[in-house]
Amino acid sequence: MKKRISKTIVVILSIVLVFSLLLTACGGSDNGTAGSGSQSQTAAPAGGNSAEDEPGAASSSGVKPAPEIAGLTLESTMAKEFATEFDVFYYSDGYKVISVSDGRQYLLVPEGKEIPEGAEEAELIILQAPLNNTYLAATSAMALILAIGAEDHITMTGTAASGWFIPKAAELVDSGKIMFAGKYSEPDYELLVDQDCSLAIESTMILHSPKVQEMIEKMDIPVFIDRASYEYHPLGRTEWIKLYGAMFDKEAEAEAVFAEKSQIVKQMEDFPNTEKTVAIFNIKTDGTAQIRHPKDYMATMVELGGGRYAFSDIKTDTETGSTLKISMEEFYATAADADYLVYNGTITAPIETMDDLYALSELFKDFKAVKEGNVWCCGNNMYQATDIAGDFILDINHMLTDGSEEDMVFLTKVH
Amino acid sequence: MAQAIEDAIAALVEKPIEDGKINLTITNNTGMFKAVTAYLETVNNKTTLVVALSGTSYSNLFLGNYDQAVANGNNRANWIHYFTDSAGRKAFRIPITSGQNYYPVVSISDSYLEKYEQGQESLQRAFYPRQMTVDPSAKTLVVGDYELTQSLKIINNVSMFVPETAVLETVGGPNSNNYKSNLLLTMGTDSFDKACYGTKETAAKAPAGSIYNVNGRTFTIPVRWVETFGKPETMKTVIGSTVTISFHSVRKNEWYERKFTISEENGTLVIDEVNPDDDSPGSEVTPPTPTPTPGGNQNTDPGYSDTTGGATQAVDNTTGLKDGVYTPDKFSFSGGTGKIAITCTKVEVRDGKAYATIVFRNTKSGTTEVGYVKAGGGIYYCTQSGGTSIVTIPVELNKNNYILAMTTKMSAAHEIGYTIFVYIAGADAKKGNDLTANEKLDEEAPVIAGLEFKDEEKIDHAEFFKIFNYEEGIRLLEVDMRIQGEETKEEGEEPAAEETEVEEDAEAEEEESGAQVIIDEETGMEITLIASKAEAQAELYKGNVIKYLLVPEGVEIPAGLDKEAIVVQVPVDSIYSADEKITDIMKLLGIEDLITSKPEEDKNKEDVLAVGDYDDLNLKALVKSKCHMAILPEESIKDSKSKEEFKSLAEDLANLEIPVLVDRAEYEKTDSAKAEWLKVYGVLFGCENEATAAYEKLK
Repeated sequence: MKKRISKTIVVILSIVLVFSLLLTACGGSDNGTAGSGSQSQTAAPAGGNSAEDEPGAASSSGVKPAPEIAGLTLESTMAKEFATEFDVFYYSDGYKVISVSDGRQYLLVPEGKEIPEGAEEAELIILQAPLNNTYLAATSAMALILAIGAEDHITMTGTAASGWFIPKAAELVDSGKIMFAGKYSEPDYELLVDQDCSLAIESTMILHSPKVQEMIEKMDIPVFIDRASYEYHPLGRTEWIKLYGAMFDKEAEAEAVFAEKSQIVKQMEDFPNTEKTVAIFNIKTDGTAQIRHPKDYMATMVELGGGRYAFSDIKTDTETGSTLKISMEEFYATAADADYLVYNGTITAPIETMDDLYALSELFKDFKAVKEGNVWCCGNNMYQATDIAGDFILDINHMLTDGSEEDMVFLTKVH
Repeated sequence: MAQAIEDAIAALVEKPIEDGKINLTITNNTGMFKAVTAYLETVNNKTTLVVALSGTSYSNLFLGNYDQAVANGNNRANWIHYFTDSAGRKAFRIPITSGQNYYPVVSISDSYLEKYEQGQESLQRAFYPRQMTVDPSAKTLVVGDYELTQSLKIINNVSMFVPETAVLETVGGPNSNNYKSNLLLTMGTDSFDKACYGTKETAAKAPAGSIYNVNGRTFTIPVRWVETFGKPETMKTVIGSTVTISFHSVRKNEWYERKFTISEENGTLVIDEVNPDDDSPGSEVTPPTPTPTPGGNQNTDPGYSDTTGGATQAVDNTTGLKDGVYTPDKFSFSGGTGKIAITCTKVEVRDGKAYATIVFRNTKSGTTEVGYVKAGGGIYYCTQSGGTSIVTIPVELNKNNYILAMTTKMSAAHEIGYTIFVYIAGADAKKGNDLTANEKLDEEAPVIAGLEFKDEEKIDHAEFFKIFNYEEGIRLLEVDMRIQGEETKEEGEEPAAEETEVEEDAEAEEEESGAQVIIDEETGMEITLIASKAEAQAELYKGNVIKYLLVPEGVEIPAGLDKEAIVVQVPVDSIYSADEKITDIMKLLGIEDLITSKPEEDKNKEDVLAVGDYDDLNLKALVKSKCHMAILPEESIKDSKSKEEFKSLAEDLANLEIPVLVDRAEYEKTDSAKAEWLKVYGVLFGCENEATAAYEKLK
């Protein structure tokens, strides 16, 4: 009797023990189902994570938390400094989940490993490493992928050679290492299937062509939608380099590049704001003015560079956005007194001379910045140069401190 | 070797060059005709210049100038044909005459020669004048475009008119982008500031573009020009005839007429008074469309070599697209030396006219200096930004546009010709097409702008298809897709059919007005999105009648048609056969091998992919089979539910650019009508003879 009871007790105790082990392993608010808000750091997984003591950027509510996956244990979450539109969760055995603010979650399955049961039910989009033969139709991701040396994964693109302002990208397409496989809205399905395309990286433009996305998925090609352009902080956009680092197993490279780029912001932290106002705008052919939304990343870069965005107080319909259209009168009311004018050449064509500016409107002759000779223009290649977009902050800083055009990457003086 | 040349060599008395081989140092002055290696070879007192070219575009040279080449015509015995040197290059042996250093040479373009042989171009279109200057003692060779400067002796029979020097300057030939042939008349005084072809009355009313302004004291007056670029036979010249040129006096603000006669042979310019009683004051000249140079005047820098005389034709850039900003679906360009990459970042439509923003970038240096672009008869100056040159020009959408881009290299300006093609799937076809009517089979052949109608295929019995034949082997196949209950409506009857029609109309209306304006997140541009080609094609499958435009390989169709009919390249070479009955027909016609996919595996045919039934298609496998057409049986549209499924399948296949056809033979009433559907297979698969023969037997 005694023996039997002890045996039972042992069994019960073991069960309890196992249970508590299980609880500590996958429960707890630090790990696992981390909601929006805090990021946490535990044991560094295979991928390697960055600064453990960084407070990190809160993720937007659109980013779903780490899913439960049968047979896998969540080990850690990628630490981020500025990006809010994605999260990367690291699981055991090298599995990763990329979670993006549109609610989509992508399960990265390491090479040679199996797709866990229940992954599809959890609506995880499967990305099977090594993800070769990728079709890249999101131009802004190219610079980031090049910066981490992952371009070998890309063999097809939605932009022809002549459409790339990044010389390395143009070269890759020219040499045939990357093939033009049709614009995002009209991909060459035959080519994608022939090439065994394993992944299509699209920009949010694909949302306007839902049938195309459907067709690509019917070809058994998973679609990844890049949402870097929704980041408010300029370095948040660049931080997507870490997402691609996770996708292509180049985390270390991504960390290194990003650390270099975030130095820019750190450099600027001690710089006292000049309180000089900067207006970023372009004039459309119908005569209305298009300015950057006060919450937009370019407006943020002005602040970070040591200036004040001239339209920071303007009334807006939307909380967020990239550009706003206003009438010339409204524009004049604020910009006429701005210390600096920066013409946004990425949308319409850039301008070179003051005459070009007057051709848009004679009113410009009355502007303070024009009279003081502080008119600049940023080029049409900014949207592709995502890895160095942060350099715009330095450009602004140079501009505000009478720096030389030679030191600038994106800005040119308008004479 | 040409007789003339042999004579020349035989006339050699002096032997300045000893037997042996002399390598030459080369200077190339043009990118279009470059020597890579050159040497002088003297054997038995005969000297030959052996030159190897960098490019492969020329297989023949003519020793002489452009006019001599034209006069020689197609007499190829007088051409110098290439040989392949040890480095694999095209090399030429050019006989050298003692004492002569300057050799005009005409390079004959292989591609235009081929076009001439095919009857598409004149022979002289292939002629590009060049020149070679060899200096045996200095051991140099200078190669470049033909440039002739000839001083003319002035015989001035006019008072109050003091020309000092007259020089005839010719660069290139009528086919050259930089062709010019001008009279440079330098005056002795500052009395006159303008010159113009024609009488003083004509000059007084002439548009600014026809007036030649003096530069310093020199007038540059074109004396030869090509009216239509690319058609050297349209070259006009005033040389050899007497023309009236008027000059404007600064002090008196009046025009004074003079008669000019240039003789190239004699090397003279004769200037005479215009006799007011003279009936023939000189031949009427329609001056060339003037080509403005930057700044309006010739650059006076003596080191500046201006090769900027090109012109472009006016362009019709009207478009049916609504005003807005669009991104092109496709953009391509050709021309130039390959160092400059061109892209089109957007197309803006304003007041119904299309303007494309073009960006130039030098792929090697990452910078470029395109100063201006000539397009559509106008000149547009570029903005330089971030290593690129940007310009907005009028373009005819979905057609080749010819432009000239002026690039500055080493202080010399050159205009380089490019052909650009900006394609937007939504740009409407020219008005006048009747293809969109799809209620029933057309009684008469629909009008298709740009395609000449030939005749209609005689269909004896079948009621559900028609075939119209157009030029160049293009055919329009119409298939009536109506089933029981949808045929000719009587008033008040068939509300079901009517309903779907109303729905479809509403849908179509939404599609049309739904030109959405969105912001491209990446660039920040506001883009107008229009129905894609796939969306338009999906709509075409919803009508009562589906129209297929069958286009033979290599034949071009007018722009925009791919949104008005299902375009099928014939003969179709890869088919999905959804039913054994269809496979049987293909066996009967001897074209079973064209089937590349079927619903199930075929044990006898390993290459045929199993892709599932038409109501459960594995689209990926279908694409893998490189399917170019899907053929479904009549039962696929047997009732309204099936029809809806068919339309949905057609939409998917339209996205994949796979046309789909339903073989409606079974729905036809008589056996003869059923058999006549073989004719459809005939026109689709290039087996018309077999199809007609089989039909005759079966009907």
